[in-house]
Amino acid sequence: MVRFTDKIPAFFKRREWLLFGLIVLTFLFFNVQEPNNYTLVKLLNQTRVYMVDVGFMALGMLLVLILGDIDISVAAIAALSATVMGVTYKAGQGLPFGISIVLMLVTGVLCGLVNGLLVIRFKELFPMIITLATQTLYRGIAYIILKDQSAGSFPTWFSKDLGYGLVNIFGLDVPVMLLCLLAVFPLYHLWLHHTVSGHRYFATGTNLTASRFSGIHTDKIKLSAFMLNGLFAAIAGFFLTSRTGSVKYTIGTGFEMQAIAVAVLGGASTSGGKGSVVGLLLALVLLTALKNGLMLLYNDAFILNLSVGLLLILVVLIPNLLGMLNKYRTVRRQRLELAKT
Amino acid sequence: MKRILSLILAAMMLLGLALAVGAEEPITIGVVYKQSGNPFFEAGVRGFDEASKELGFTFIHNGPADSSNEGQIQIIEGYIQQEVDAIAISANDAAGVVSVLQTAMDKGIKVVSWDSKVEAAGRNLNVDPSVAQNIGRVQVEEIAKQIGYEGQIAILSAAATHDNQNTWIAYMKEELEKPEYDKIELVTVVYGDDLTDKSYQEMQGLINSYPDLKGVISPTTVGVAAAAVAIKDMGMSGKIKLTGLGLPSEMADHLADGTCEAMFLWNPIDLGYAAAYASIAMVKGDITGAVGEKFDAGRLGEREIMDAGDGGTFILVGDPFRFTGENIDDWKNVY
Amino acid sequence: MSFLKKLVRNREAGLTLVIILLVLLVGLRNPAFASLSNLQFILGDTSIMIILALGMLCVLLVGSIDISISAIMALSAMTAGILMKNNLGLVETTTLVEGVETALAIKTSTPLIVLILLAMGVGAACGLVNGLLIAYGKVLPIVATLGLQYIIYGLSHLVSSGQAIYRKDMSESFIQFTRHNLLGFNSKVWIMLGTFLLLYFFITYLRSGRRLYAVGSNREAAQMSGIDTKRTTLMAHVIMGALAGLAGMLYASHDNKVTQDMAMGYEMYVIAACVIGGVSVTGGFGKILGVLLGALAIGVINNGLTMLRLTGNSEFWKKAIQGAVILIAVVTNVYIKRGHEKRVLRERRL
Repeated sequence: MVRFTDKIPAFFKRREWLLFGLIVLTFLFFNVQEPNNYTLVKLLNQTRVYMVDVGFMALGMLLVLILGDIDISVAAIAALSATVMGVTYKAGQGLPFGISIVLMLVTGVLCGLVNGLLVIRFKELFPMIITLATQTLYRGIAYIILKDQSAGSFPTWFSKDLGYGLVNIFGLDVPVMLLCLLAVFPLYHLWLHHTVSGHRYFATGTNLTASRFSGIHTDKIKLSAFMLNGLFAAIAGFFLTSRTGSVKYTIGTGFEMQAIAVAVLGGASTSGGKGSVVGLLLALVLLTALKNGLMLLYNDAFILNLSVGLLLILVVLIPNLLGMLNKYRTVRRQRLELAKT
Repeated sequence: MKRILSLILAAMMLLGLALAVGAEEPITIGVVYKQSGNPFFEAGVRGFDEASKELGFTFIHNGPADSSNEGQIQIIEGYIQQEVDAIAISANDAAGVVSVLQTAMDKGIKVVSWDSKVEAAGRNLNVDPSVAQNIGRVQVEEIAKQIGYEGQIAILSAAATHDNQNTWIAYMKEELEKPEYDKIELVTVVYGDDLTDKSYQEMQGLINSYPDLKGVISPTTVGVAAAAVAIKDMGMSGKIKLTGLGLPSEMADHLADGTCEAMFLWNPIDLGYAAAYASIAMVKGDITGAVGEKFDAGRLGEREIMDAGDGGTFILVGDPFRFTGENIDDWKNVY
Repeated sequence: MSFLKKLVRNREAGLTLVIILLVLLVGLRNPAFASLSNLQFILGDTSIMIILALGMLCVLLVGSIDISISAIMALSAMTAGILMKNNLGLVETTTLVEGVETALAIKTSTPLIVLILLAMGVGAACGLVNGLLIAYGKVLPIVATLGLQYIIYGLSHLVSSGQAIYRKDMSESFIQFTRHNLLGFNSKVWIMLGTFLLLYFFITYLRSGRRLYAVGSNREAAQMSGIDTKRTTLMAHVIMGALAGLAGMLYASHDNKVTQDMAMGYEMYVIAACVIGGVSVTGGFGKILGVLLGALAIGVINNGLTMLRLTGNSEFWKKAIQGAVILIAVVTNVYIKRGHEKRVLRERRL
């Protein structure tokens, strides 16, 4: 016999549905509270602030989390790559901007490579510790390069049209940045969830030893994940710089925790093997809706952090508790049936 | 499924549009400061509060939890979304907020920076607490007087990346070139990153590394307080003189017992008050931020806009106030 | 077997050697660094980190982690600080100053021991929430403590209502709490030693202490043999929380200041100290002496960098040096461990 109460946990176990419900609730709540300022149109514009750079960073982080690893150094990679871009461009007097961008991406990949090599070379160490150390190192290098200066004066298409530009689609003003981010999602989803090479990451994260014995080069998988993560971090740095208009070595401080929070909210687990690109997107939307609403309603940085922390724990905890409740009920019902017979 | 989704989306949009019609509102200023929960800025907000009672405007205030540039951008974007009339900001990164403030100015929002300036391209006017040269000069004069114009001194700064710190230190060095300071030697500049324990360690390192050290200048509120504690802990009270820019509430005990004979700070309440008056004058169109314009700054009197030398303009609030053991009781519960 | 080989075999001795080498190296550049008084100062300064690292050891041993400790420090110190500020009063006493009886007004407030117990209680409560979420709610440790870090800093903001606690709001006994000296050592060192011995006894001789290792090295096996793994994890987090509360009070007294964002980022140093000390982040492995030495190594590096008397632009190198030295220490440790494991295997074959 299947009862309705048994169905609820299964429904909520789909993280995507829980997130979707929360998005609708969040939106309606703040829309009633702040009817003039919290509208869909205005929220769409705010995606530039809350979604894009963290979103790119979270996409890379997702891959690393699926492997059961973690990367604390992403924000530092973003800062170092953006620094390289700013310094080589030298406000128009250095290299052409296109080459600066390529150098920036290469820097990101290289930083990821260093992380990856250290991780596969020193398996005794948790990736958290390794990336904790490389984080100081990368930001330190950015500090040595830039010192107290900031590098800026980028071309207008970068700092105006990309950072603040809007495109009119079906009467809605959509930020250019958001379109760039959204363009990546379908491809990333297809690759990660529907190709063999994507499935290898899940396999490696679920059971490393089994994957190795079934012919997956787990070291190569790990290395590629960290390199891709570095690349995404550099892209995040690129978009962040387009908003700030200049680079300082402190840029993006603390973003790594935001990226982890987004990936975990979206269904990734720090113990590996789990993660969803759609969940990630929904988590980004939810955080944008929530943070912007809180910003308007309470206008207090600490309350904002407090709510995000609460949300993070609840979204992970609730399915766990419901799962446990369900299990407890099943066991009790089985016992009762046993007692009857 | 898709139909339900699109229906919900459409409903949300309709709701949003239907509620988007609002009434005419009074002038609103969005205040941004470096860090939330910092007593200096809490006092600055009191200045805005005072001005708002006199002029009848409303204001909202916020700062990031981690004193980051990105956090300030988030707040500014939120203010633009709320269509405030003016933004008054104390910037963590003078260059990093220029882009977002330019979009604000494009939308007709007036931008006034106070306490810590924004680059000229990103502001209409800067409300400067005091001329940087004076801030550097008074501290050198004070420490020289205390150590009797002779001996080694050191500077304990916040971070090598802070623009205002570097400017003040440059003026201090310029002041020390003068002949009356010939016998004073500046041995080193160290950085405590505006963290209390790191500043304490740096001060302890100074005392240990330079046995002949006579005086220390710390032009940062965190640094000067940590230095006072370190000097006291190492039993050097009176042997090593200390001055700098300190918060009266934090330094009260150190001034009372003479570990620090005198220190300076501008009044954050006046600073916020002046920034509020400047913002309102600009929103009302009394001033545009051009050199030579004058406006009434309430109880502070009239202020004239001057050329800041960085391509922008500024007004001055006043010279830094000198706090000593005698007058500290009047101020220690104020800010 | 030569003495040197024996030394390399013993991890803790190896680490001691590294610390001595660091002291000598910096001492060569600035003799004041290697002076007895400065070394005592470093020990006192590092005590807070050691106390936290001891708590972190318990948490890491059961295969968990806590990155909310800096927030716990802030909240517990802020709670106790507010109580102290509200009960502040003046008491007239007389003391002998250079042979003359002088009247003195001393700031008093709630008794120090009450404040410390309150702070440790708040800390333990935070640890309890962490433990409940991790052990019973099955939330992964990094996620739970990351979330709680945000929440606890938020609470500390709400408790403080935007104000900070300064020296003027502190009772004299609280200010002097970390400034007493006994036998040449600061009271922080004695508190640290007390905590160290207590925890050493607990971890080495008590059954519930040994369980920390059992749970961390093989959770299933521990469960089969009748250990309540959930309760052990919970206990580890409560210990961590209480110690973070104590550390928060020491930190506040040392700095003469409590702010709502106190100690932000400190947790990373503490975790690094544990890893340098040879604690496995995946649980079940780590010695209490190693943790002490690991924290000391970080203390020496931090103090050494300020005492190197680097001038000018070298300020910019410090951060990179710090990261590199920690990385080198960790990597060296791995090699020592690998060598050790190889030797054990070889000896087994014989």
